[in-house]
Formats: sequence, structure tokens, C-alpha cells
Amino acid sequence: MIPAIQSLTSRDVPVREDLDPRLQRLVMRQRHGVRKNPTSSTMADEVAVIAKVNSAAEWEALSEVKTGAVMPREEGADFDIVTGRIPISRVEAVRAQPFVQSLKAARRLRPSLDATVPEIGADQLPAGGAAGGGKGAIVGIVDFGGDFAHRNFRKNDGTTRMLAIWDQNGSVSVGSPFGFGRVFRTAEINAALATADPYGTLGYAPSTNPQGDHGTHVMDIAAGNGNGSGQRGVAPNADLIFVEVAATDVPFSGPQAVGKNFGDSVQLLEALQFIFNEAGARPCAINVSLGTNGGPHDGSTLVETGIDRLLAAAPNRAVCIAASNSFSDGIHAQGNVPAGGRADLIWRIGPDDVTGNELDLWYAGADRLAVELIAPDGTSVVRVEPGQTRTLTSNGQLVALVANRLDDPNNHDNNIGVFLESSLPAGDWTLRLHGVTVTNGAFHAWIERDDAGQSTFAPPNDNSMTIGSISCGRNTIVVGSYDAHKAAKPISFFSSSGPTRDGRQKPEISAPGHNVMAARSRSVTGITRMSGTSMASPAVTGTAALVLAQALAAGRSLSIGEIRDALTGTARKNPPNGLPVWDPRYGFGRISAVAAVNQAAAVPPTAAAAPLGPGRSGNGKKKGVAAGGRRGS
Amino acid sequence: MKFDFDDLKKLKQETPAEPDYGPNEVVTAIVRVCEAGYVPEGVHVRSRIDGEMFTAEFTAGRLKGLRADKKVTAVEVNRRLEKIE
Repeated sequence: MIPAIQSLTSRDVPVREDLDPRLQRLVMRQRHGVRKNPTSSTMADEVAVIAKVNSAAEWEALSEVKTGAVMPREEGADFDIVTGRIPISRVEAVRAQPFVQSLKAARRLRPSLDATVPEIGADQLPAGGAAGGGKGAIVGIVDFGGDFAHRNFRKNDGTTRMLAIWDQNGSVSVGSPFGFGRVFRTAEINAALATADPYGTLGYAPSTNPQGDHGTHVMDIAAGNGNGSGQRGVAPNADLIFVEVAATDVPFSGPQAVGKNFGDSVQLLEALQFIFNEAGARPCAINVSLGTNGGPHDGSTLVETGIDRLLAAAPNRAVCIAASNSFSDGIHAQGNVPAGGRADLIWRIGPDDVTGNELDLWYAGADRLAVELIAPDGTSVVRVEPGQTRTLTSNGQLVALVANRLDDPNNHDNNIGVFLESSLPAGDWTLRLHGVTVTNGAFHAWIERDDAGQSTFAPPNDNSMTIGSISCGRNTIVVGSYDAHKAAKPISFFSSSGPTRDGRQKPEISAPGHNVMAARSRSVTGITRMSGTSMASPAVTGTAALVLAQALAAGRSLSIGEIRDALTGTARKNPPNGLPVWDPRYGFGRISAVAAVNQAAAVPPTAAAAPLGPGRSGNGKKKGVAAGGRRGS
Repeated sequence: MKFDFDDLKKLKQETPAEPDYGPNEVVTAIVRVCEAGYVPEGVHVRSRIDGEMFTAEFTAGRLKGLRADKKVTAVEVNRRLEKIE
């Protein structure tokens, strides 16, 4: 029975005030007859402690103390750090010993996912509430290595929570979506789980990477139920669909491909289409952790437009995308070319870079810029006029390509692409832009991601607009990362920055993505640590599933605009800055699962705000979030 | 092996005719058309996003024709995407 607030009384408690508050609580609970249960390392009514003492020998001599470890004493120190177990009834007596300088109860070291869920308030939503841990909603994951055998993705009876796995690498079979890959459905997965070798039986397996696969980790953050690891994800009761994404032109070879996973833009779009088709009328939130550095960064690519259209096509759909981890990589530059003048970009290629390098530059459609490539020794190797493409070859081998393409069909801007093969010398290459016809003059450039040897722009770097190539759509929700383990909740050093090139405010939101412990593939119950915006995005995906489940329980539909408003309109503001403004890295703030669900609960049943379609502004021109979370008119 | 800077002066400049696809190489792409339901000849639709947008396969030899097709607004040839850690 819950006591009435008015009946509660406060009083000073007769317990040592210099005692660790956790120990005070244990002492007071014991005095009120509450027994502490035994654990793996303590007996009943016993507590594990860590103490700072003048003498380890005197500590060990105390009859109350079951001694533990004595830390090596630092040179010059006049105290020891020791551990032990002591009866709760003797805590005060031990603390009163003159040689005991400090006595602390052992603190449970929580796995980091256990920090994600409380930090965003997902654990404040009762499993039996309307959001129901995401019950009724589907979480889709487009990634690499989804371990269906991990207990976190299985029900209490051991059967799978997966509705389907589409392995795009799989051999074509009857019913392969869009004519490729192989789909495994619940019955097949359950049959495989009933065997001694579920991976071999099913014909789909996570990799043998000892660190665990990315997709398993991501799926657990979004929707693991904790049946294996003991720690739940954000939407533990959602159903699951996993797409093992592949690239059309695999196998790749060479140093850039070693140990890496690739998808591609077409098969990503098809993966999303597949998941939404499978979901049918059921609410569905999908997580994507793919991208590159290049692209126009204005949401105009067809893959971004395609995702926007899928989201606008039906209510109760969301796609969350990791912002990218490129903030401090020095991969973005911007500048202005004066009419009749020029501007230089310094492109730094390191001496150990054994791979090719690629640069993508965008400028206004009304301008005409010529581009000149100058080698580190000052040699001008090529000048390419507007509308031209030139290659540089040596003995028939391509060593560079410069394309100065006009009137991109999607945004009508102009695009310069430069590709340098690995055979070219390292050093500071100069990209000199000449203003042939200039009315605007502004340009932005990005260097493509290259984990085997990332080239950069020479510092000082402009780290704005470092969000990924597919992260600039109008309907997607793009997620930055912060460190939930620190009191200040600092943004992760790697977490990419907005806005988009056309000035819209992305990322929309941020979530814990630093040192996140979540399911490890091929471990059945184990966990592993990963960091990245890929670990932040699924926390928001899971939250979107909770929001959708809440709406489902109330018989409501939510447009993508309403889902976005529920997430961004309730985000916590301090950090980033305590102000009701957008931050280029935290977005509109830190995700609050409990507040987002509560806002969704307040949406009137008749609400069905129009989704943002291509061409309409997203939150770059964010309208007010009216009471109840509806997008303002 | 890396070039010496002296080698840079010997590089040959050319204007390539077309991207380096073989004419019978199968290309996957996202295609946008201006007329709902329109599918250009020689293009196999893999998945339909909506009436005006679809993913598709076609041989590289069709690229030139697609660019010239007034009902084709844009063709975005498949682009590799990397895993964001």
C-alpha cells in the first residue's frame, strides 16, 4: 500500500552523519526490520565495503571484518585502500575506528546500457502501461550481424522475438524480396533455435568477430529484453525485424575493404521498404547506421528522398539514423570564391596513406567555377572548366579524375568530384577554385571517409556539417551521441555536427552513445562495449517504438511529423545549453523516453498532421510544438 | 608504388567518354520519373517507393538513353555506404 503523502513524517535519524549515505540507508533499513538478502559475495545482512585506512594490519585485525583485498600502497602514501565485508550491524562501529578514514559501500558497476535506459527515462515507463515496453510496435534494424540466438532477442520460453531476418547476402530463394537475398521467418528461426547449431541450421550467422557484431549490439540497445544479459534495452517488448544489409558490388578487395562492412544506397532503400512491407499496418521504427562523408548534404539525394517518401507514405513509421562519427576528422571545408578571383583548399594526404582519396565539392547552380589541382610541389597537374571531366593517366593507368559537373538533377547545384589514386605522392594538395561566373560564390567540400588512411583538410578545420551523407533528409531523425556516464553529459568528441548545407537543423536529438555495453553476438547472454553515434541512434529508435506503442494502445495514428515532435519537443535542454534552441551536435536536446511517450499520450485522437514531404522544410524551420505535441500550422 | 613529383609532369590528360562500366554490366540505381508509373524501356524495377520513384536494374548501356529520356528526372547510380560505428 502506498502511504498518503500527508501521512509521511520526517525526523533526524540517530546514525553517524559522517557515514556514507548508502551505508546509512542500510543501517536504517536494518533498524526498521528490513533484512538485506545474501548476494554472490555477501551473506545476509552483510555489506561489501571499500575503506581508506591508516593501517591494513589494523583493518584485518578487526573481528567484524571479513578481509578482502589490500591495494598496493602508493609510494609516499600514508594510508591503505582495502576491501572487505562487514555485518550491517557493525558498520557504525567499524567507521568509528580511529584508523578508518573513509568507509564506502560497494557500488554496483552497472553495464553501460543499464545507464542508457535510466538516463533517458525508459525505465520510468511501466511495462504494463500503454507504451508497454514497445508492445505492438516493430523495431527494424538495418545493420550487420544480428544474432537471433542471443537470449535478449528471445522470449521467456526461448522462442524468437524476430518476425523476420532478411539476409541480403543470402542465396536467392522463392520469395526473396526484390529478387535477391534470403528471408527467414519466425517458424524457421524457432526451428533453428531448437537445434544444437542454430546458425548452421538456419544458414545465417553473425561473424566470428570476438568483439561481437555491430547489429547485435545495436538491436539490443533499441529493443533487447535482458533475458540473456540481465539488462534490457529501450523497447524490450517490441517485435523485431533484422536486415543484414549488403552491397551490390561485393566482394570488395584491397586495404579499404579489409574487415569492413558495406551496404549501398539502393539496398538500404530496399531494406527499409522490406521492413515497412513486413510491418504492414503495424507501427514500426527502423534504425540505420550507414553513411559516408560526401554528398550534397541538403537531403536531395534520391536515397534520402526515397526514405522521406517511405515515411510520408503511411503513418506510424520512423527511421532513425546515426549522425556519424566524423566531427574531429577534418573532413569538411567551406569558403567563398569572389567574382574573378580564386579560393584554395588544402587537401592533406599523409605519407602512410596507401589508399586512394576522394573529395566532393558543391556550389551554387548559378555559379561557374573552374577547378585546378596543384600537387604538393607546386605543379599544376590539371585545370577543369565548368561542365568538363578530365582524367590523368600514366602508362594507361588512371591516377586521377576531376569532374566539374553542372546542374545536378536533384538540387540543380554544381558538383566537383576529385579522385586521387594511391599512386600519387603524399603531401598537401591544393584545390584551387577559379571564379568564372560568380553570383553566389559559396562552396562546401567533404573528403570521403577512408578508415585505412583518412586524408583531411589542413587545419584549422571547420567541423560543422559533418553529419553523414544520408543524414540530411527531411523526415528522418538523426541522432548524436553524448556520454551518459559523466555528470555533465558531454557530447561525444566524435559526434558529428549539423546543420545541413541548406541550413536545416540536423541532428534532431542526442542519446547516450559513449561506452555502451550491450549484447555481444555469439555469446548467448554476453555483452560488449562499443561507442559511437550508432549506439545513440537505437536508443531513439527504441523510444520511437515506445511512442508508437503508446499511440497504438490509444487507437491513434502518428504522422512522422508528430513522432518527430514527440521526440524533439520533449528533449532535455541542459545540457546542451539550457536554452530552447537547437544545438548543432545535441540537436534539440537529449532524448527523454518518458516525456516523449507522455507527449504522445496527449495527442488528440483526431490528430493526423501531414507528414513532411520532399520539398517541405523539416525542423530546419521548426514550427512551434503546440500543447499535445502537434506540429503548429 | 608512389609517383615522384617529376612523374606528374608526364601525366596524360583525357576527357573520358562515359563512366567505366562495361556496356553489359548490370547497374543498380534509384530512378525518379516525372510521370507516375512510367518505366523506361530496358529497366527492371526492383522495388517501388511510390509512383515516381523506384529502385532498378539495367545494363550500363542504358545509362545514356536514360539521361536523354525526358520522363526520367534523375538516375542515382548505387552508392556504397559504410557502417557508422
